[in-house]
Amino acid sequence: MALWDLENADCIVVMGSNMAENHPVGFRFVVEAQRRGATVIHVDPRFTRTSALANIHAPIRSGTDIAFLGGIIHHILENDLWFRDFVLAYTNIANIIENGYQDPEETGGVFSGFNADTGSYKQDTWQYKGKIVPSSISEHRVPTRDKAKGGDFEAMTEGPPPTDPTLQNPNCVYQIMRRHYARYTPEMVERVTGCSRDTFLAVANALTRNAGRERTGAFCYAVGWTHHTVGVQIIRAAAIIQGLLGNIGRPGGGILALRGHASIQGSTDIPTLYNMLPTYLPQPNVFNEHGTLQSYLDSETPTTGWWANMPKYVVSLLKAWYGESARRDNEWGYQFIPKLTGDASQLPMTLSMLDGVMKGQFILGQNPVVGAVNSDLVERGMAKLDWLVVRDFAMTETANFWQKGRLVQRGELRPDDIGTEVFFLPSSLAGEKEGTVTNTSRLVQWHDAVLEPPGDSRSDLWFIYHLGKRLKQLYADSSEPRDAGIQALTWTYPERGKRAEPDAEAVLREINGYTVADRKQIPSYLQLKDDGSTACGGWMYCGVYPADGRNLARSRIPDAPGGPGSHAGWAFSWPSNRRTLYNRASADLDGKPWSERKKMVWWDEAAGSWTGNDVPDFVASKRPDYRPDWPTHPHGMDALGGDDPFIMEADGKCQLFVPSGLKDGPLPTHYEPVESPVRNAMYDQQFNPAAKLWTRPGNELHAPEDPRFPYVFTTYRLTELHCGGVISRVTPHTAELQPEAFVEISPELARELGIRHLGWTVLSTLRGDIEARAMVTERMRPFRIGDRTVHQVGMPWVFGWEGYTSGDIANVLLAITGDANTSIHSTKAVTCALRPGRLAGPGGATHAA
Amino acid sequence: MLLDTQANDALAAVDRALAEKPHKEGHTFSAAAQSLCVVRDSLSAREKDDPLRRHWLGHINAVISVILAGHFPLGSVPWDEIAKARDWLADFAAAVSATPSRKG
Amino acid sequence: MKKLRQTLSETVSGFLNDWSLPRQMAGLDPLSKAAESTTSRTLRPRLEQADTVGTSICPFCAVGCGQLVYAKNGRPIHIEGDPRSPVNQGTLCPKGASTLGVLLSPQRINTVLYRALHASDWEEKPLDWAMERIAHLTKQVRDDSFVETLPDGRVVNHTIGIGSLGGATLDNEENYLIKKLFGGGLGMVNIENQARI
Repeated sequence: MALWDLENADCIVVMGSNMAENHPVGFRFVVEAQRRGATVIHVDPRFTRTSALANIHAPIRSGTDIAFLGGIIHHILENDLWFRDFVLAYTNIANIIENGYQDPEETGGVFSGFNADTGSYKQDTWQYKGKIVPSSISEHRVPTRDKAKGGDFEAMTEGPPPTDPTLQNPNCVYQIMRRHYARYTPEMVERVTGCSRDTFLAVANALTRNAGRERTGAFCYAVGWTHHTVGVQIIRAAAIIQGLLGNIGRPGGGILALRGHASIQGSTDIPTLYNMLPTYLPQPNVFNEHGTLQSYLDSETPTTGWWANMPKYVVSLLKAWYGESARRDNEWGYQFIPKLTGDASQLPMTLSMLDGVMKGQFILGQNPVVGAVNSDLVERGMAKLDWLVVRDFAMTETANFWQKGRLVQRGELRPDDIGTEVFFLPSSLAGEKEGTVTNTSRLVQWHDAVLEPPGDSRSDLWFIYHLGKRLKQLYADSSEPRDAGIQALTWTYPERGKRAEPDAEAVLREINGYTVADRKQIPSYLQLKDDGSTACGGWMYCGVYPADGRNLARSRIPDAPGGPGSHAGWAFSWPSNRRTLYNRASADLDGKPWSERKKMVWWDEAAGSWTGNDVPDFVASKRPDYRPDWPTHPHGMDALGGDDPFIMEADGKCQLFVPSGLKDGPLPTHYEPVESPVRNAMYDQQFNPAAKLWTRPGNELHAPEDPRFPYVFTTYRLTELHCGGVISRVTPHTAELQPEAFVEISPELARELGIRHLGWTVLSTLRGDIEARAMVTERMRPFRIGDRTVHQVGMPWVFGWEGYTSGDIANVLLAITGDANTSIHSTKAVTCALRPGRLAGPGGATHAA
Repeated sequence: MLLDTQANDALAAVDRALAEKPHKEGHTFSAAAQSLCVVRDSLSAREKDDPLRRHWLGHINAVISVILAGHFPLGSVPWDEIAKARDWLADFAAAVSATPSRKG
Repeated sequence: MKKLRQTLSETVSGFLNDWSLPRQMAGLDPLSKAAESTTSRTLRPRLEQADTVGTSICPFCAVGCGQLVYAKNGRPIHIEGDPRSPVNQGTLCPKGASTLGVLLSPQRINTVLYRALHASDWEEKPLDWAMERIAHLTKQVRDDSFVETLPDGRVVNHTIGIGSLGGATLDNEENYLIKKLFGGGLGMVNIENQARI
């Protein structure tokens, strides 16, 4: 949803985020909604400025979000508070699931399909009865037991998935959900999360009161949700609530991810990520049916829904990358694309460095020694590299680990021992270079080059472009087949000025796409083809540069007061300048707004098209009463009805229950964090059985209830210091405002341990020890969990040894573990030990800081 | 160390992984990857036109890439692929033993 | 001494005459005229010196606040929130407001630094030299770690010997070329950024 659309919400739940402090300007829309009468709720272990401005603060123990959200789902279902007309028509609540489906309620904590030997799931029992449902996320194929070749999606064209609109069938989604969440009662929520029953019910009532035709609510989250081994499932739990309350695709409804970097959304869309090609196309894998372009497309292309267009997007990408060398007779250059064998994400990359697999590393504006978990292990890995290239604008802990790192400070390594050749290349900053960044609402905004970059500072565009030129030169004379890809790569961009800066607009034009024959910009991805006649570097961004001289990311026309409020003239939001995804759901089955107060798009019978205050996210001319002609085996969008708003799903329905695409279950289930001071009160299964774990020396985990590590440890950022921290630690203004690292401790725990406010403390895990001054504060509260008290401590992770402000690196304490779906690390709920005092070592400390 | 010793060490490490079939544990595959990297580094340290290097470096790299699928699986560990990689490694070990210039 | 005293007294009375508070307390217009002093009369807006202004987007979080960057001779003199932007309507948070300080940070590094194998210190190097060396090192590791096919013939065409980390602080065009060159050109698969974590 658009940030400014939060103003239209009647209830806002901020959870897994300290929005007021970490996205302060975005938070003004929350404050505005509150001024207009909305109820603002903050669910968070700590009392922060977000809590201070909220109408309700609900404290929960870190890592128990699914128990809390599951409690809300239970409350909605058992009290019949769901938006019946919306849910029955637009979600899969009535769908019937395969007979073999078994719930964790029946098995002691795992779903059917779990293989204990491999710690992973098969998804065949989660499917709609008689169908194999392609996933809507970037990997569409479905690993199933019977059809190891990627599943057979043709059944989706043979008729609609079976449903029971009366919701009586015991295997329909409604009945499965009721059974699954039966024990998520207010009492259980209190027992697991530590949040009182009354506070929980106040939250549940505020949300359900503000739902239906006339009212909507929104969730805002940040890495407080993602940084768990169940991160995706926490977000899923919120998605179920929003589906049940009709809060998707409507004004003031939705789930807003509050992301942390200027173009972290852009770098996900146009991914510098291992598992995707630009704009959510799957990176091919050696072990899947991806040997040829045809088999890749056959196993990955859904037969029904929007994703049936995937071949057009893949072939157009290959044309953009390989130009004339992408021909029909060489699969459009498909074999130049590298194939995966395993998980090549950041955490495995760290371990690969340690094992000697990885020899060279580029670090482009990131600072893993501070920002990645298990910081000492990151240092050890980098010490094994042959070479390391760091591009940043000031010295980072990552670039000088060999000189000032913790291992060197502790005497475990001497610089002489470290055979890593290190390059530090100074980078230009925004203002000194031009290009686009994509904000957390998919808004693609251009920024101008106004300033001269100082000295040898260069944009990363300059770096990668000129490195590419040199490499193409080095490979120009090769006759090795392996070098054909780099030789074929299109790499002609106009150079400007004395630095030979490549033209960022030319790159954006390529991302947008053009016709191959006459190199005309393409205005819409509707015009992309799979016959090699179009080239497009990122189909979802098509339309950002629709014609020569029309860079819509530069557009700067906000709506006037009283206007539609979608600000369609301000920059460009993908796809097709749509501000709210799935906005067909803002209208009822017949295409009329659910209410005047909450109207967004609607069907205009006279014009024969969808229209409204936003670009409709639907086939413009598809009538609300359109029904698929099943006897003809319709494919693509023809298989979706005029009242199926969720067009990226193969059946056009909001998936309350997810048949495919999730690696750890079709419904969110409460598991304890991998490290927890308590036993799972819900199931025998202690933690997510599909979590990614790599225990090894230097990366040991704490067993549940390990008495040596009794406290829950969580990390967070500060308003004044940004993420890896160097950018704000070397800036005098912000550094002065946060001069030193600290750990937040409740007065109760401080008393128990004899810790004074501002006194020194030592925090320990099996991964490492750090010290920090104590901030004894009632912002941290002990939790009553069952019959015992659980204490939680928290620490900002933004400090390091560089800059004007310094302190120990909190991420030293954390282990490398991964969310089952995303391989995202866990930073919000681990366990630790805490004592007053300082680390032993010369001068009382083991480090220069 | 002799290249054939290195190859056999790596083979033993991969065999251990196949025998123990570990999951959610980093050490066994890590040991396999490390020993394979020793082999790879020995090969790549040879002259460019050394026949062992020319014939086998890409082969060993392929084995490493498959072992990585065991260490960092997408879904379940593809044990059948690990078993194939083991045989490819064994092919190399046999070839090295049969080659006079096997010193590392 | 007398002269000093006289100078001092002139200074004090001059200050008192010019001091705006007594006038404001006397009930004159408290905001404009009464608040004026000799110093403030001569002050000119810093922005008048700017020879260029352009739009930028705040480099910190993903809210995407619009900024106006004012420059003189290619150097930044002022950065403020863009009042036109529906995202921030001219406002900035403490980090966003410090953007000028980031650009002008005394700790900024403007030269290439190089640390040789086992060296104990950095040395400065020319940019061109570094680019050439990095290109050669990249080629060398790629060539030594490349997998064209598995021994049974399945095509892989990748290297896991080189990794790239970072992108969330960069522009879309930069990310696009990184993925295109490293992935589509060189066959690297270990390409990651902050979005993962």
